[in-house]
Order: sequence, then C-alpha cells, then structure tokens
Amino acid sequence: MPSFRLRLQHYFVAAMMRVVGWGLRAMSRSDPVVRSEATGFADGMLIEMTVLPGGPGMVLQKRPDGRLAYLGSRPPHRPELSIRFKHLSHAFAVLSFQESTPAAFARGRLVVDGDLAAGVRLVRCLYRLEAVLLPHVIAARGMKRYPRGLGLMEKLGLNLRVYGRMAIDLLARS
Amino acid sequence: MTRQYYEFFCPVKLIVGNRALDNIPFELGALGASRPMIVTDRGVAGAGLVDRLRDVLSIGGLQVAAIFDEVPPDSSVVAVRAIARRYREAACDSLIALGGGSPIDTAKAANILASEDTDDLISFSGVGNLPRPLKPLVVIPTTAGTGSEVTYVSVIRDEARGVKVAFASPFLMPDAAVLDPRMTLSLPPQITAATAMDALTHAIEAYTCLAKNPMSDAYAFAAVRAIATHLLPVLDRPGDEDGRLELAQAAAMAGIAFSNSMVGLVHALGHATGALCHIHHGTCMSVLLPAVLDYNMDARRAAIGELLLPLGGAEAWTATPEALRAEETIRRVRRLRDEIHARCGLPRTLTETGKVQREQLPVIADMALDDGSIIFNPVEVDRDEALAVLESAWD
Repeated sequence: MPSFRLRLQHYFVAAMMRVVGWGLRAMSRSDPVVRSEATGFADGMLIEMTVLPGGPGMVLQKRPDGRLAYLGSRPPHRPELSIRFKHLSHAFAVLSFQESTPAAFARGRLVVDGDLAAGVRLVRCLYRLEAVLLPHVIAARGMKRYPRGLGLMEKLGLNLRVYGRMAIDLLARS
Repeated sequence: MTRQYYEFFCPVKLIVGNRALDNIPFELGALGASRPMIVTDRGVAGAGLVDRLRDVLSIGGLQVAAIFDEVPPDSSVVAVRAIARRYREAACDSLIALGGGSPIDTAKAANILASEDTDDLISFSGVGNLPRPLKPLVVIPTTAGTGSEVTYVSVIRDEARGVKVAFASPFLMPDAAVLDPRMTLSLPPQITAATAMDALTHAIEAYTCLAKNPMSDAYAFAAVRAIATHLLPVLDRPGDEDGRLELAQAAAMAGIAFSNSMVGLVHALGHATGALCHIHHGTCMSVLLPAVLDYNMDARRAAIGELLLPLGGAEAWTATPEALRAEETIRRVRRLRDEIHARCGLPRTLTETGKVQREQLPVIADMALDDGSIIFNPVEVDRDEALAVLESAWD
C-alpha cells in the first residue's frame, strides 16, 4: 500500500497531466505560439507524456486542421512520441515546479522515445504553457528563460482566451 | 536537501597503446567468439588497415569469417541490413568495427539485427528498446574524434524515409574499444584536425552544458588538456605515434564525457549545418565552437574560465585574472583554430567552408531549434539568437 504522500503525489500528477493536456489543446487554438509549433507535428501524430510504470499520463493527437486533440490518459496505439518520467516523484517534482523541465532532462529523470525533434517541439510548447498560464515567478522556475516580450497585458489576454477555451472544451465534453 | 543528481555509465573495456590490436583474439576468445566479421569502409580498406588487422588476428589464431567494406559515409539502413545478411550467411559470431563514426554506428546497428535475427531495424529505434545483450562487438577507431567507441548511441540514415534514426541502449555499447596508434597514423592532416576539434567540442560542451557532473567533468578536463597539448605537434609530425595515441585517448575520454552529460548548441547548429550543406561534422564543430562559447558566456563564465587551465597550461592560468579567464579560454580556442588553419587549411568560418550560402542560415537556425542537443544548452536559444550565432561564425 503506497504511503499517503505517494498517493497524494499520484493524484496531483494525474491532475496536472490533465491540465497540461487540456491546456495544450486549448492553446493550439488560442495561442499563436503553440498554434505555430503544433503545425510542426505530423498529422495524426500521437504524443504521450506519462509516468513509468503505468502511472498517470496524457495523450494528445495532432489533427489535420493543425490543432491538438486531447485523447485522455492512455494512447490507442504506440505513440510516435512518448516522454516518460522514470518515477512518480520525478514527475511530481517537475509538475510542481520544484525542478525545471531542462534540469529534469539533464538529470535523466525522463526518457524520450520516438521522434526527438517533435520532443523538442513539445518542450517548447510546455514552456509556453507554463509562461502563459502561471504567474511569472512560478513559470520562470520551470524553464531556462521566461519568454522575452511576453508582457503583462498580453499574458492576461492570453490567460482569458486559454482558460475560457479550456472551460468551453470541458463544458462541451460534459 | 541536495538537488544534485546524475547518472554515469561506461562499461566499455579500453585496450590502449602499443600493439593493442594484438589483444583482440584474446578478448574475443574471452567473450566466446571465434568467427568475427569486420565492418569498415572503402577508405579504411584502401589504406591497408583491413589487411593489417587480418594479419594481426591471423597470427593470434583468429580467422576473419567475413568482411563488409562498403559502409557509406553516412550510415544507412541498407548497409546495416546487408551486413546482417552477410553475418548470417557466413555464420559469424561477433563483429569488429574498424573506422570512424559511420562504420562504428553501422556495426552497432547491424549487431541489433544479427543478435535479434530480424531485418526490422526501425522497430528497435528510440531509447531503451533493446531487450537483451547483443553479440560481442569490438571497435577499432581509425579517427580520433567521434567517441562512438564508448557511447550507447547509433544514428543510422533511413534512405526510404529520408530521416536519421537514433538507437540508444546500454546494450549498444561495444564490449571493447581498441586504441592502437597504428590505426590513425594514415589519417590526413585536415581529417586529423577536424576530428580532434570534434572531440574538443564534445569535451567543452560536456563541461559547460546543463548535464555536467563531476565524473564527466574529469574526463572532459583531461580530454581538453590532451588535445590542446598534442594536436598541433601531431599536425606538424603526423607519424608521431605517441601524439596520435594521446589524441585517440582524448577522443575516447571526450566520448565518455559527453555520453554521460550530453552536448549543446554547437552540436545542434552543427548537425543542421552538416545535414543541409554537407560539411564534415568536425569542421562544423571547429567553426561554431567559439561563437557558441561567446553566446553561453554569461551563464557559464566560471566553467568556461576553468577550461583555461587544460587549454592554456598553468602559466596562462596563473597569469590571467580570474575575471578574465573565460574570455581568455575562448581566445585560446580561436587561436588553436587559426593555428590549425595555418597548418592544414581547416576552415575557420562558415564562409571558408565554401559550402554554405548566407541565405541558408535561417534554415539552419530553424533546423537547429528542433535538435535534441539544444535542450542541454545552458542558455535558451530562439531563432533570432541561433541566427546571430551563425552570423558571428560567418566570416
């Protein structure tokens, strides 16, 4: 029986995986940067981020219209790109911004399987997600450099659009 | 609570020095192998190195079961399949890779097919997709640069899809790497210089990028010192066996370093430049290294400054105030590049390669942003910044 702390981490990581999936889906429609990055993924490409072994995850698929679709926590078949945290605690450290994404790569906390160029593109999307959705002081902990030129007003505008899009998507699903 | 964490792994047995080749029959015997297949390329075979190796093995009581000497300059899936086919036909039980990065990577990939008894190479691509140890593989580098003899990666060109496919697994690591100075003596000066600058870049990026760690730092530091000390003398006296051996060791040490701490923007830009403009990888490294060090200076001033000791020696280190050591390190890298150019004409700038058009630079910058190495660069890089680095290496 996992400890209370590990169960808590599991729920937190599962929730954050959903937020990442929902967020990138919404930003592929609302944010020009992620929209542009998403067009670089091959049509139909399955992109998975998960925790080994069989932990929480999220799966996106690039649609022909350029947007990203959120497919839930498990891929329907072997994904073309899979980013796998080696342990729940590593995923927790990254998703709770105790460890930056580049530091996690440098420390071998995760493995990238599949299209490496797409993996780098996904990392840029994650940086953008953090920069747009999180307060500056927290977002800056997750990346090498907070995006230059992302001013407060632009960020607030994007916040409204992305969170609004996420709410609409959730309501539409329910 | 410390946040420090790193992993370090290198199980490759290094067999180094005078008459090192002569040990191969014993080593293969210890691995239970008696019918090796040699994998090499036309250039190496043409230089007589295959004949020399075969003689050495024969005297040691080991008969070569098959030879494949048609590895293309860029490893290819077709070559990998052809090697595996010949391996099975000749009932081989081990592989000997003889050559530079391409024959070594090709032999690693062929070992997958030979060991798994399949022709489906691509299904093993990616990280950690090999289920079990492979057949014995001994690697004999004939260049001193790629470090592939000590890495767990193989990159193979898939002609059908027009992409390069990477394979990464600890099972890809050779059982032994044999560094025998006789194998690099015939290397032309410009290739000697380019491959050594590749090794220098491995070491410097390993020492300055995000995944640096105390173990890889030690290897990187020693590699920089060996290259700084021996490269120019070897270019002056290509028959210097001791100097050649030092460079071969430096390349292996740099390979161990970057295999455990990765590389950064020099490689990201270099991969893109090489792929688009068909320039030798080592030449790209030599041209781009100082410009990238300039770019990374603010984030890595201390680490770059520390490299002045192995690069310039104790006198330069003590004569340079601490605050100026990073600048002096980069100045020394540029001076080394200039001295190499004076000796063998290795290009110092993108212009001097004669193969890059200025209008290609934005395309190179775009390609570099998608290169996996860029994640490990200590400073974030956007398109304009990558372009600015390329511009500063232009002329």
